[in-house]
Amino acid sequence: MEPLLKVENLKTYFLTSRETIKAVDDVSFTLNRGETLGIVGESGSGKSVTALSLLRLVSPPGKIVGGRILFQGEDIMTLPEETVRQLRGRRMAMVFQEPMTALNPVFTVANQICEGVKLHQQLSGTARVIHPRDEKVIELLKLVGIPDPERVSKSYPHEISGGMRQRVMIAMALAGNPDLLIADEPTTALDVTIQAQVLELLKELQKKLKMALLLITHDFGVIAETVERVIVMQQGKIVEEATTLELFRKPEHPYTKKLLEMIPRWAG
Amino acid sequence: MPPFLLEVKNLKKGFPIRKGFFSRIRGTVQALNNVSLNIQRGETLGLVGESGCGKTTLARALLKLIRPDSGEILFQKTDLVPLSSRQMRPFRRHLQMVFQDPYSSLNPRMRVGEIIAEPLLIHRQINRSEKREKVAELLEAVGLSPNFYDQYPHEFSGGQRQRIGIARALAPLPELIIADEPVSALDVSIGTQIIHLLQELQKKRHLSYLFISHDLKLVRMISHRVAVMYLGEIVESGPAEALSHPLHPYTQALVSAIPIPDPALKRKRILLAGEVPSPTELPSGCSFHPRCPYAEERCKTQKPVVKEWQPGRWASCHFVDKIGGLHE
Ligand SMILES: Nc1ncnc2c1ncn2[C@@H]1O[C@H](COP(=O)(O)OP(=O)(O)OP(=O)(O)O)[C@@H](O)[C@H]1O
Ligand SMILES: Nc1ncnc2c1ncn2[C@@H]1O[C@H](COP(=O)(O)OP(=O)(O)O)[C@@H](O)[C@H]1O
Ligand code: SF4
Ligand SMILES: [Mg+2]
Ligand SMILES: [Mg+2]
Repeated sequence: MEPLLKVENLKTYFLTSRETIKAVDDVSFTLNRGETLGIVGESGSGKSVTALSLLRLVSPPGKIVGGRILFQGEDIMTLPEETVRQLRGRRMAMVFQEPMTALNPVFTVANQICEGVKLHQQLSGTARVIHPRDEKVIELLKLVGIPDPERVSKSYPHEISGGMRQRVMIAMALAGNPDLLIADEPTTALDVTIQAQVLELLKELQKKLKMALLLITHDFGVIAETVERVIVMQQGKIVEEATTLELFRKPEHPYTKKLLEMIPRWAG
Repeated sequence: MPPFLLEVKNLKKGFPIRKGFFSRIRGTVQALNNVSLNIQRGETLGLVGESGCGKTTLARALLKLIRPDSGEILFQKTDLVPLSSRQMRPFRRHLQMVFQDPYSSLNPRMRVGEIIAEPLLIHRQINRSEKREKVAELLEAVGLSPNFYDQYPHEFSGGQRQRIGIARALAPLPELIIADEPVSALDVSIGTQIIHLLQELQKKRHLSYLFISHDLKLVRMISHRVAVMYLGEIVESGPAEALSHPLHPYTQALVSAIPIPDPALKRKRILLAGEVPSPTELPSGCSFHPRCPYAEERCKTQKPVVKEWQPGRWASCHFVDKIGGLHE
């Protein structure tokens, strides 16, 4: 079976006048339908730039300088901008690290979600203007476990908590029934009890909706509890790839070993 | 038992909420609600809780950076609460603080040497001629080169800046250092080094720490005893090891929420309903009741008192003996 996503020799560099930062340097991996894959690594290792590259969202001075990104067999690199824009949100969606910066402060929650839904419906041919109070919005907010969806749908991003904002982000991402959900540190900014809620939610939705999940994190605990397979990144390169069980049982690369050795101290 | 270095009794602090500059007070954020705790010499007390529960407010109140509304802060038996800032001066040098953000907590226009020497000059512990030598000693104590004296903070990494912050806190030979999320802004590998430094300094200098963090794993690793805070109250305290079988339902949920780096382990999480309520509208009875999986009618009306359930283990919940933790 053809993989959902196939990344081949991806290179994304930041070309500044002073230097070239090889943020992603010859990265290759695949992801099958309905599969969960984690990317782990320390700060600056290139996790976020990899995610942004998949959506072709890298902005200058960053540039994808090489490689191929095959999504459902199509090379994202060669598609026209308009096609990629349609792809984003519908077939592949992303949840970002900091929910506040990713939401538009002047739109209500309902309006933000509607924008997404409207776009997708136009694309799928069922052009119908969606009202912000439409049941689809409420349904999505319910799906992500927001207790008082009618009230929240009318709120602005700054009026709801960080945990709620992250749920809204997930609702927006799910609006187009994506085949692939990319989540970049979706819980790092959250308190631990809320983090647990959001992670459980992501896992549950991934199963229910049979999406593939690409989860980016620096937390091996989150990896162990959420994904089937893991990629370890260091300075823009993949140093190890394994099933989650294998990686913890017998890490091969010295860097992975070092990272894993650091955990028990914190776990006490 | 030796006397406590620091003993805090029933500390309260509320912040008035106003809408607009001149308008009436609309209510209060009850940031500290009867906090009691104590620290012995050479001991690390870990304070853990989620954001907004009042940790930083407690730190600031202990240093008298904000004035508590009521309660006592006994430092070597003297109550600091009623003291004027002038009367506080001799105590200041004994209580030092290390801050969360190593980027904003150092004055960018001062040289590293000046930053570290400042508290020493304020407390007249050295004269100008001894400055360089003393700073060099401190830089070495925190694992930095004495040559850094003339450099500016922006020339350093997060981990190095946090070391500079620690050197400044150590300078006046304090008894107690309050560290408020000292490694939260750092990568794990750098954070671990800072933790080791703090532990090593504690041994050498017989320091006491109040170590504040939202990270339970970290707090358990570094502390002798741990206090758990929820909505401005300490809901449980006890030896760090005891966190593996907590007494209070909130601590149980906190412990169970931590992702465990072992993919072979299958366990059932305790997922709390909802989110932390706003401290402007504290729930009636037990503040935790709207989220507590064990809450009963009584919890809505009757506030549980803090009780010592086992030697050194305190918790405020009506049903500690039913919930477990005691018998494990
Ligand atoms: N806009 C930019 N301009 C220049 N360099 C950049 C830019 N964005 C990222 N980089 C660099 O690319 C590299 C990879 O960054 P990236 O954001 O992918 O790290 P990360 O693994 O996501 O880290 P974190 O865990 O801190 O989120 C780093 O060296 C970073 O400094
Ligand atoms: N200066 C202030 N004015 C009004 N409210 C404040 C002030 N400082 C803190 N608070 C409130 O007090 C509560 C506790 O805050 P804080 O002590 O900073 O929590 P923590 O450090 O545990 O995250 C929060 O609800 C916060 O918004
Ligand atoms: S007193 Fe009641 S609500 Fe409070 S923690 Fe105990 S069981 Fe839960
Ligand atoms: Mg990142
Ligand atoms: Mg704080």
